[in-house]
Amino acid sequence: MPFSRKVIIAIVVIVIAIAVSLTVTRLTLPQSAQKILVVGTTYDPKTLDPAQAYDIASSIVIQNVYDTLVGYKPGTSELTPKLAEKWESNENASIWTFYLRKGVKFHDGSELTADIVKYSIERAKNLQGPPAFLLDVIERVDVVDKYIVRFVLKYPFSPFPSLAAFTIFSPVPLNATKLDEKPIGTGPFKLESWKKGEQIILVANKDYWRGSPKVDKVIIRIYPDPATLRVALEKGEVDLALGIQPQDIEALSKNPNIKMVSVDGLVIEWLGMNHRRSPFNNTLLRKAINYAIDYDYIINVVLRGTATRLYGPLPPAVFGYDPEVEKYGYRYNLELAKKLLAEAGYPEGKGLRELELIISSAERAERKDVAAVIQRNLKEVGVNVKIVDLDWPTFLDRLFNHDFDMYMVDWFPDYVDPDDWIVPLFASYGLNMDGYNNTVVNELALKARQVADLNERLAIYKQLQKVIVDDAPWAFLYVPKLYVFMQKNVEGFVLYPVYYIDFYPVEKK
Amino acid sequence: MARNIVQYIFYRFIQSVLSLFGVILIVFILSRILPGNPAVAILGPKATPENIERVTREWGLDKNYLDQFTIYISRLFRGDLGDSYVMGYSVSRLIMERLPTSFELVITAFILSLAIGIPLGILAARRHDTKLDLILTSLAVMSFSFPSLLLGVLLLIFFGVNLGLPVGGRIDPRYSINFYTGFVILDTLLNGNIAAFFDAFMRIIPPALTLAIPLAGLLLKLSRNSILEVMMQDFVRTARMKRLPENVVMYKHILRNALLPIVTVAGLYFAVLVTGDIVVETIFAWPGLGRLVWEAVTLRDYMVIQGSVLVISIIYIAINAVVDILYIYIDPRIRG
Repeated sequence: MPFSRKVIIAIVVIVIAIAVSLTVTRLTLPQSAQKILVVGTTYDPKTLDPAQAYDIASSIVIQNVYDTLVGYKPGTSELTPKLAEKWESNENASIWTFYLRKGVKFHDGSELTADIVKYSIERAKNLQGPPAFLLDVIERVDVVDKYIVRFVLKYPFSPFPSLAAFTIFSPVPLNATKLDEKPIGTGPFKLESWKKGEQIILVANKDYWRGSPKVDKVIIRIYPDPATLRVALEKGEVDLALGIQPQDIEALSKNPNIKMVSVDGLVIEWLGMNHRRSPFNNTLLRKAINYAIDYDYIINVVLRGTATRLYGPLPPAVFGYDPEVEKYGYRYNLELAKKLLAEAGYPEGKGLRELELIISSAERAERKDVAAVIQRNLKEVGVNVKIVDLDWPTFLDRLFNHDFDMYMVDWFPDYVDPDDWIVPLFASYGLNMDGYNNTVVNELALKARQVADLNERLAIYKQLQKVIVDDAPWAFLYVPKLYVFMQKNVEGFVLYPVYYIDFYPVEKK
Repeated sequence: MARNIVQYIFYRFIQSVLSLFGVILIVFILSRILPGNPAVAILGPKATPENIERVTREWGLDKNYLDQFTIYISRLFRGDLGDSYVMGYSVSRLIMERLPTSFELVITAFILSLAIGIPLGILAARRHDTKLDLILTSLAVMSFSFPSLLLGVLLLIFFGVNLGLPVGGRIDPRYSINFYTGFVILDTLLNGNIAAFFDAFMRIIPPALTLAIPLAGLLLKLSRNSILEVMMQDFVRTARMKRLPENVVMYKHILRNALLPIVTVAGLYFAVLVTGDIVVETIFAWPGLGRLVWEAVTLRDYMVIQGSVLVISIIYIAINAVVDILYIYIDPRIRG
């Protein structure tokens, strides 16, 4: 071998280089007196402007840089004062007055006043970003005095305070430019930098009106592949992981170095049906489908217990949920399903064409497996289903054009009030994807949002749940739980059923 | 002769411009025939019909395709790639942010594949028809038929979990580095932070290897065959008969002549690497151009799709042209 000497030298050099780099990287992890919280997530924000943001990744950053008028009590979806100390409405819930906290400062030093709230809402209305439709209810905003602001609504709307907890209700300073990149809020953290697709760095706002946060810096790192996020968490490179996939939850919950918190969420997943078409205009057939699905198998085997059952239109974590629905809701019953199918005019599925079920597993990976179970279940009663897995924009296109037999999708509320499930999903003047139309539902849903009295509202929602379940407009599937994983030394993190991720109380021991 | 070269380069340039125009047209048409409305994709499932209409009008998507195309082309001539619908920024800015990141990975992968593929190819050729040759060529075939998704995940687990090395992302987020070049490995050195340099260096290896291994296999096979072909030719036999040292024969006579197909493939593959690393960028949390394209496609962000594909095509076509021109210098026969 003429160059064996060189080869040997090269190998020795490489081995030394690897050995050196191994020891160097192990020994000299950046030492710093600062307390840094590294958060791993799977999506990059689209914008940091509260008037434009309508996705979870953007909201996570905005929620920590800004404050909304109304907040949530720790770990719940109950409302609590935030920038507004209190609020009240007139008798028919069409005029809402908010009393602002005094002495709240923006990161640029300017003070929060009623004028700024008015400006921020009007700015958001003018920009017409994706969440701007949430402000459609507002007729005008009046400044009563320096710290009192009044919202005059177009129609009575009792869920208004819960709407005021949405990020679009975050005040922004006057004349600020480029808020999509350089947000200036009143929140516990300031933006230091944002490298798109890679990471966002937030630094503590030492002058925060509730006191300085417990960590000096939060680094939000984007791992587009959840499997890589899991490796980073297990290696300790990430202190807190958002966006771990259901299939990894079991293994991670057994890892002794990692803590898990979970909470029942507010997202609902369902199997929708196109009432505009035969055979779904037949209530008996829709009921038969409801009885034919093996919900326990889906929840326990496919989802490995990472979800709970949805029995009616509302998830258990929202107020107004009626536990009675668990008694009268649909459960897996093969015999009853077959009987109802025969009554519907399709004994053993005879005379029924192949039904198309459209899904988008790109949006939620586990949806594919759930759809396969439903396909198998329906086959057992004689209903043939073809699953069509589409990418998200194509799926939405077909959903909005009502070009489907059945679909599976989930819904995340914009404000935590039964109104945000019932009206958009079941009223014929809502999104009305299914073409479901029941005048009782239409009227009650309208009434419920216009009544200010809580007990009266609860009674209406109780009745609504019963009526809707009786009509079986969908097959109600499940409510995914929310999970967050973190290192053992991370303390103080509180998970909310709403997608509110709060770094303010988090500490690193 | 000199005139011939100038003519050739001119001809090549015209050809490149024509192919570029073809690419612009095809991408424009393709992104429009994808099902799914960008307004719906961005506004989400709760979009109101009025909002969808307003956004569609704002982005000029209500105009007919010919008008849209004319506007796009006229902006292009002014060097304007348009704005992203989703992000609101100019497309050129988004691309410039991602391009160095992709290049850093691709250049590293390229160097790795050359360093692995060609020496092994020479070795296989020298020991042709032995067991070693058989093993090397089999490994080569395996390496380029192995799915990169699987290879990436395996390397992630091997480096990250088994070896316990840092993986995922370009650098540990706790290092604060000032960026000068956009290449993390260089920037850590410019910052004088050796620990950060090693961290970044260890992190680029697994994704670079994922990209490099298939190319290394290809180069191994190609250089082996090419060398063998040249070895059989008369001038090599002459050189050997002159009792020139084997190394001189190998490097001066054989390799020089065997290099031609290797340069072609390596050059074209460089461009393929820039486009083809979406999977690798996703697995290793590498915020490069591939992922920008992918995100743009999933959101139907037409301007970003068009802009990034255009930039990638320019790279591809430019490299193609450079390779063709390099030919002239490597292979005198073309000059004729």
